[in-house]
Amino acid sequence: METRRDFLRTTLITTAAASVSEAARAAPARIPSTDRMGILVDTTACVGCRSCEAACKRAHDYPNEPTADNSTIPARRRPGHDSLTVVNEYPGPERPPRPTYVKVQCMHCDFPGCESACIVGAISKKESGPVLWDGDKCIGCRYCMVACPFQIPSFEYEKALKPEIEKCDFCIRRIDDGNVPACVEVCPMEALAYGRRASLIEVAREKIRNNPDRYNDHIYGEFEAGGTSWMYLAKAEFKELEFPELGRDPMPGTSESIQHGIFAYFVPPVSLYALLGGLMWITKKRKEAEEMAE
Amino acid sequence: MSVTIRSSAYLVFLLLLADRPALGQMSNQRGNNCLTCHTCEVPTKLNPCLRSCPRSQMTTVHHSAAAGPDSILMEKLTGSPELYEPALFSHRVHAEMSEMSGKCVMCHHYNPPGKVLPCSDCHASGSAARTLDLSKPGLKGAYHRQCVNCHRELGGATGCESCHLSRSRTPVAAPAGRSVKEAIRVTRPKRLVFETKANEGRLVTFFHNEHTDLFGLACSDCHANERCSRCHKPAAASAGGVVHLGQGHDACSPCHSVKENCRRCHGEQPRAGFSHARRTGFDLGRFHSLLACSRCHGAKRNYSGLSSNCRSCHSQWETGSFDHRVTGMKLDDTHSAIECASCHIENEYGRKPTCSSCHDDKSYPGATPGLRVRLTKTKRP
Repeated sequence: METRRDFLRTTLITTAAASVSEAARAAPARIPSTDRMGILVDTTACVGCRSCEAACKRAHDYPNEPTADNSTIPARRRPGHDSLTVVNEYPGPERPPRPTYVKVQCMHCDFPGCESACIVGAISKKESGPVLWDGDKCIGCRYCMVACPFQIPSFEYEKALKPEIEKCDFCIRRIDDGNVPACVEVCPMEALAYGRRASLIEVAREKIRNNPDRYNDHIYGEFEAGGTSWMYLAKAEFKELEFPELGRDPMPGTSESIQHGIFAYFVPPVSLYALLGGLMWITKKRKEAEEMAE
Repeated sequence: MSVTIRSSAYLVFLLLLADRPALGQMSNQRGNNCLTCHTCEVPTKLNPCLRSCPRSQMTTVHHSAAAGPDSILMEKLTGSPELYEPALFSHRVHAEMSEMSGKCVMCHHYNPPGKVLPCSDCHASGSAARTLDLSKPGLKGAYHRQCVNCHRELGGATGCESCHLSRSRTPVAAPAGRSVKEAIRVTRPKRLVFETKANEGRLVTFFHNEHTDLFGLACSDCHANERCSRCHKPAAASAGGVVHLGQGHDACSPCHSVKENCRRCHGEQPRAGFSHARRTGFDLGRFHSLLACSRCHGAKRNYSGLSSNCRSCHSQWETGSFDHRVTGMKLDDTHSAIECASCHIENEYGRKPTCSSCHDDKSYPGATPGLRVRLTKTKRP
């Protein structure tokens, strides 16, 4: 595990190396593993029991809350530092009502905006799919929160000492032990399916093909923001279920082009300093000339 | 040389094999993979471990509700968080009710000819097993989708503990949690008076009890292809608890001619029900009322009048050899000595004689008949 000191050391070395050689900057675009895992959420199967919320809390040693029945499901919630996932209810047009339930958590993007925005490398995308946060590196700048298109990472504002960034960790400890994520395991309706992302997409396409009345022909997360590990099927348009409308381009593309543009080859900072230095030199010369004249 | 070629061919083959996903994950365009038909990961020629091919059109399960089990304890789930006790499923009640709806296939959506397959034959138990075959829900999902989807639509209790007890909680009344409604009480309406839009004969009286009890119709003879939610709905008894079959003549026309003789059903007043005694003069009594109409009248629907003479049906009954006990009244020595027509006046056997036709107004079995007040007309020859 890297410490903050290690990080500073590596940063200094890489900065030095980058200023010397251009090759270091031209790192190839990372291609995600074809065997990476994902989760397919079939919102048409979910009944909003919120067992996943309870199981998530159990798995992460959070103070548990009793599973509430559907009637007490609050109007709209977001994952926060006290719950890594929440289930929201969206009333449908059907009479009698058959609401759609949407589980919200980190989507584990293939090209995470948070990872790209993190200036200390505390967020990393694993080859197997999960996007993980490393508390030993985090400096609490909260850039990740700004960069996330799904507004997932949350900050423990009420903790003065060592506040953490909280988000779904794909139950990485359980997966490493050969289990499936806690929410997937507990779901009574098996609305969540954990498997190879590629296989999940095949299954989702098959479901849409076989049940055109049941599903809207759209796998949310297949292409959104360059693709996400968590993908959704629904009857309604995803817009109606308050999923953000994102293009196919990965999030880092936009932010990095701006960020990298500013610092490219160190030309802008160097020229800025050169300009300022020049101005100073000119002012100094002028002052000297004035003093000489006197 | 040939050895090199062969070994390189093997190498290529192995490389191809290594690059492929696990057996259960490959699927063709129809969504079938090896596990669709094979129960094991690596089928061999000796042990192909075939399962019957799952096609929806192969559903052939049409057993009677009584042939199935009364209740089933759903205890095949062995997931790691065992949060709940197994649920007890009242199979009989569900099977009987399904006769009026989608029948067995509502749940047994795939079954080849023969034995009814348990869900676990196709739906794997355990979340790890499910990861291998993502195309269909595992056993837990299969169970819950079958139950919860209907119960949710019907507005019934859908909380986890409405079906099974939580393991973490000490059961307050364990036996109560296990109790299963083995027999649902369906209250059948007796008489329904429908108000129609007809100018003449506005009221149609429908005798539900006669149709079910007298004519021996099963519920599903009229209530076929119903949706469960027609009766089981959140706002129960929205129509006074009566489930109407539909508007107009559609409900009656399968059996009754609706083209002619409107007055048979339509009238200005609610009608009295069918009474065999009033309509024909022949009281069916204790024994004949147990018979289906067709037993005496034949299978033809337009029943014609029959002779009320016992021997028109009971041709073997002869004077002298007749055992009076079959009528439910055993003749004692005094009575057996009396001529038949003494009590059955004018040999009219269709009408049951009463004690008071000979004795004083006391009558059996309430009271022992008293003095004989009327003498018999004829003597036995």
